[in-house]
Amino acid sequence: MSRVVYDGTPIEYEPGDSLAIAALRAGQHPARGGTLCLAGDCGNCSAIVDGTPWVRTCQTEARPGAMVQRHPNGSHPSPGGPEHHTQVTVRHRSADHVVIGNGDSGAAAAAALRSEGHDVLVLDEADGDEVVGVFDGPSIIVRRNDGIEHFHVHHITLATGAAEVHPVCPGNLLAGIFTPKAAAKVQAAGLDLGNVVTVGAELKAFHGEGRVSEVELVDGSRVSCDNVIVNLGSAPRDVLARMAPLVPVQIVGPAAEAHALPAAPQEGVLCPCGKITVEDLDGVWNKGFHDLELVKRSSLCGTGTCQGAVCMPHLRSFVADRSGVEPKPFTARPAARQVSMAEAAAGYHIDTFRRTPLHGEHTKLGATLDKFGGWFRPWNYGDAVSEYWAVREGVSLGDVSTLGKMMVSGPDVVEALERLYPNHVHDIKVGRSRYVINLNERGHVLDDGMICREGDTRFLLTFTSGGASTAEMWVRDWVETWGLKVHVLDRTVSHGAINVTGPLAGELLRRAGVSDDDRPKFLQHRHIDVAGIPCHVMRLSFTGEASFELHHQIDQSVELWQALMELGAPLGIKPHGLQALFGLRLEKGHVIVGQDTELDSTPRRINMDWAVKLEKDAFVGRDALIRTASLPDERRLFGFTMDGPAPLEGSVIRVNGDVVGHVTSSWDSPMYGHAVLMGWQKRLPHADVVEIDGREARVSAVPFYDKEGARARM
Amino acid sequence: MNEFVETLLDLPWQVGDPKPAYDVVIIGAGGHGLATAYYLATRHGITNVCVLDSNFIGSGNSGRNTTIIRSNYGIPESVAFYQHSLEMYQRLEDETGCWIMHSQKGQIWLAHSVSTARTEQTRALMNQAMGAKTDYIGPKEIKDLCPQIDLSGGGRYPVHGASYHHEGATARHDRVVWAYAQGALRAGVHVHQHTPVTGLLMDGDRVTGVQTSKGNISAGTVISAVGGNVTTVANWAGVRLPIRTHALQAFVTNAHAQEFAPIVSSNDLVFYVSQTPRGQMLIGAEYDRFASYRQATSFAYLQACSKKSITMFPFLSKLRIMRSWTGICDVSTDFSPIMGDTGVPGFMISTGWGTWGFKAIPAGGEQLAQLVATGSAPLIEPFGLDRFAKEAAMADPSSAGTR
Amino acid sequence: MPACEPPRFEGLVGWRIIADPSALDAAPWPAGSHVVRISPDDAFVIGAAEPGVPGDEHAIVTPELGFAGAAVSAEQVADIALHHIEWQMPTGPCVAQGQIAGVPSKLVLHADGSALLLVACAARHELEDRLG
Repeated sequence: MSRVVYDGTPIEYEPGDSLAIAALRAGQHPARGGTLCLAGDCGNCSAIVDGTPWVRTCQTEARPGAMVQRHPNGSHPSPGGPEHHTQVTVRHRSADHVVIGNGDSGAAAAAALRSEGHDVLVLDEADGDEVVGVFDGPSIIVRRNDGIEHFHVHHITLATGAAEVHPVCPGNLLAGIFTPKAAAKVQAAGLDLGNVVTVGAELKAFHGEGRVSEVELVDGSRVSCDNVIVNLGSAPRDVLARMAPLVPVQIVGPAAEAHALPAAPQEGVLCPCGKITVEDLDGVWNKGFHDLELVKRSSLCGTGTCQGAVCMPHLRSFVADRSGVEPKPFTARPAARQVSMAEAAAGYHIDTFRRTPLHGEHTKLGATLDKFGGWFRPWNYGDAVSEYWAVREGVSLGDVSTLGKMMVSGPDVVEALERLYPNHVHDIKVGRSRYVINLNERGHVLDDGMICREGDTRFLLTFTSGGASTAEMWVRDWVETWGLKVHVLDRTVSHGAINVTGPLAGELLRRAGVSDDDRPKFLQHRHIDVAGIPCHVMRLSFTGEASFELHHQIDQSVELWQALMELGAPLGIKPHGLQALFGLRLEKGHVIVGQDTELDSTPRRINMDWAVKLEKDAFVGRDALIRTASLPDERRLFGFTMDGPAPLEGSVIRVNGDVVGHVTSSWDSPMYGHAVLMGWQKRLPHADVVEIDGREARVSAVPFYDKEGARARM
Repeated sequence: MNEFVETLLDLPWQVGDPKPAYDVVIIGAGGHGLATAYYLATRHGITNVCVLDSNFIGSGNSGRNTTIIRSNYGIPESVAFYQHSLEMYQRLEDETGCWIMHSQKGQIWLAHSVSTARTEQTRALMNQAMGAKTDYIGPKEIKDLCPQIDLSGGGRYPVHGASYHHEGATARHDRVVWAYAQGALRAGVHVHQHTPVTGLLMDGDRVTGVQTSKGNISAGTVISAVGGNVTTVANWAGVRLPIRTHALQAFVTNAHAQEFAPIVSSNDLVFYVSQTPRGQMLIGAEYDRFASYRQATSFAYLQACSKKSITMFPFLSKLRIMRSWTGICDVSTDFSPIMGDTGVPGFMISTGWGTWGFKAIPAGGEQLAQLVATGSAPLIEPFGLDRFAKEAAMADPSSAGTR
Repeated sequence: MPACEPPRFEGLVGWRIIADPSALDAAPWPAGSHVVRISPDDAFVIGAAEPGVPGDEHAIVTPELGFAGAAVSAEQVADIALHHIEWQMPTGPCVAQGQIAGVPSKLVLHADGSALLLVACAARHELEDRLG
């Protein structure tokens, strides 16, 4: 015989025993008392099994070395054992017809379906298949001891039978009380129930110390016994059907049959999970809680681990007796059979972190990487200020591979882009680019980026790293809505991009083989080789310095990066991370959509009316902008300067003591030796001097740096 | 009798059908509807009020939430409103005499990246400025407050910091509903359960009452305090709402003895965990992405939510899921509630409660009652429906606790 | 857990073509190339030679190096489907797209049950970790 450890004591079991039977074999109640159904319905045999509390021991096969502990008396159990990363196997399966329950009705249903030529899968707890729930799909989740199974199915037949009714009377939490089927299981396992008494509706009370020794009947007589079998009939085990009201399931057998409710309970514990008594129910009834649901919620009867499996027939009978109307059962919710959170979680991955082709280079350079918009990106390479100076005074590289990059082409492409963007598109010459914002129908800024014209009917669009994931959907939705003929290719992840920026950027390109004549001028873009690698070079500027974005195939990213770092070494090249970039762009007054903007920011509010041409016939958001143009100009994003140290981003902005907005971006400018900021004033009149962090800040025109934009054109 | 039952107060129901006319008829006997009635009666002496519900009191979202009370919002108007509500909750047991199991736990809102750390820091600073007690704290303080946390986030979601909202609390949702119900009933308000409203009575463009399964009822003012189907009700009055309805699910585990003191949320992962007074772990996450009126749970939700929570709290791995449920949330386009006048005379609304309606019950009810009684309620003035036409949205997506 | 060998990925060299569906249907693909039809207007042509699409002057034809691919046997496909695919697997030949172990992926299924498994290079490390 093998052994399991029950409450610290090894006990022997026979092959095939459940843990509950093993406990009974050792002369113990598997928990601390209460009627046993041994069918998985009630919580009366629950214990901590291998560290997992509330396991129905009747449904758990005894395995050598299993550690079982009773729940503590009078307090809640704790999980135990190793916690970390409990691995659970998940299996995804399909089935045409599934019959749940292999009793008489289930077997008959399965046979009938098979005779019609259907493939039928039968799930039964006797085979270890515990059905957690029936869900939309339809799908069925099954818990097994060796893992969890997700079934896609087409047809479901419920043949879950009926659950035996537990007794409600004084003494019903003692050990030694069985339903008829439970008793049969115990006896089939070869256990002797000794002097066993069978009772039905004539039952009045159980008596005994710890376990039942006497049964009292309604006629006042008492019968002594070792164990009692209580036969009070049964109630449909239809929880799976009630939990999925819109999932088409067929219910057969006793699960579908009407069962008479037991007699109204008079005394004793109705809900063994919560130890809720008939007296409690009377209490809530007398206080005016009369709906079945209100009785349940106010008494908490039916809200314990068995979720009403034991108490519901009695609770319904109670309400029927008091109100004269038999109530419907209360709503059933998953889980019908419980799963641990590790079992539920199996097979799920929260999200996918993307890496740019230069991930390894950043790691080698000691970058601190952080997640932005689903990508790992360098926050800094150790010292954001020196990275800043490299951009302002020398040359620096930034990995901008995460930018959204989309190719559009087709006979209607100009028309489509004119309607998509609030700026003009038709007059962009081939080889030229234009900065654009995009709006939603409400005229609120969604994203920003560049349009580069590649040919008469071909453009490359860029989007921010955060906006890239929804850009394709946005473009396609509109183009298809309008019925325009445009081909769309989102190549965000197929192309890498390195931003070469700084006053020496041109010099670095020269050293990388780009002649001064080939080098694109500001807002031009060209296909040229850089360090021998074919690149699409876009000239623009986010940092405020001369900047060349080198777009290229990702298999050449590392080679290009290394070549530029090597060629740039004599120029003091350093890569820069986002921390420096955020400061650099802030000095130039460039907003970051999502950080400086809010979800209802119109172009006017962020001082970008210049990027909107209302004289155009139509573009997304135009009607809204025209409608709202005459509204008071309350909310506006401002630039501010103040003495350092820079206040925390998020600091409130006050005027005359009142909160009027908050700081969206803040940076101690190494160039100026004071703080530069952007933030909101949302109340008129807008002030020139505000209070931030208890200090004075002044509204400043943006950009703070190089107002004429000369450096970007160098 | 157990303590839970013993401490309930009587619900003094009236007998018989609704009267043919009331000063105010409120559609929806959830927390907001009943609280509005309660404050109309107790603060303003307006007792000729009827609250109607198609089901039993608190049968909708009032009893399908995660019972969290907090005021750590991101815009000044919201912090002021929810802080007022939070303070009203702190006094509600004294005021009504009902034990609502109010328990101050503190709420930790985790950030796992530079960008969400900025959001949480912004939240803390805005809260402090507007009178809510919130601080930005680091990993060590988080661990002290909640030793069960895995600060490495399973190696994938390291904790950068958190905003800590000292006065974050929970209360038993049903008992809040009953506190207002018994108070309103005692003050003479009529509450009729199982009396579905099937339409509005109109006189020209004015709403003059409601059609119900028990006949027409005229009213000086009709207030919609329904959850989930508000767009249908508003449509009867010809009012279009910037609302989309989504299902929000949550679940509890079995009871267990772990002492999990605070409420913990995560900005990046979007879930929230707390332990109920009954020992269950109560776990929620974001609402379903697609619009729906269905109150059905999905396994995909249990799966995602379990994964997120055990990633941060490995001890949860072995806890078994006992019950899940679903509420349907009316989410406005700016993630803030919509309260007050609708532009249709005689018809007011309290909606847009998305995933944050429970915490707003006291202040929402109080302010709406004040608006009905006096014509002015400054705390909710910024939350009027007209804000959308005026381009004055109360945009606060990062405070929804969901996304 | 998985009984089979995990898939071995390598970067794929090919061309991406966005064009009218009818033009793609009629396109004369270079000899030796393997065409993965991602959608009616979208083809991924694996192979070094540049394809042409005579039927659509506006077609986008561009090198595509953004995918990593792994040839997987029928047994491997079955194993991946059992443990990592929530959706119902179609029968090949066809292209199936969806999440595999939570990573957006494509399975180019052949008639014999074997397949080419495609994933964006940016997410390759995640898929490798999860299938490994």
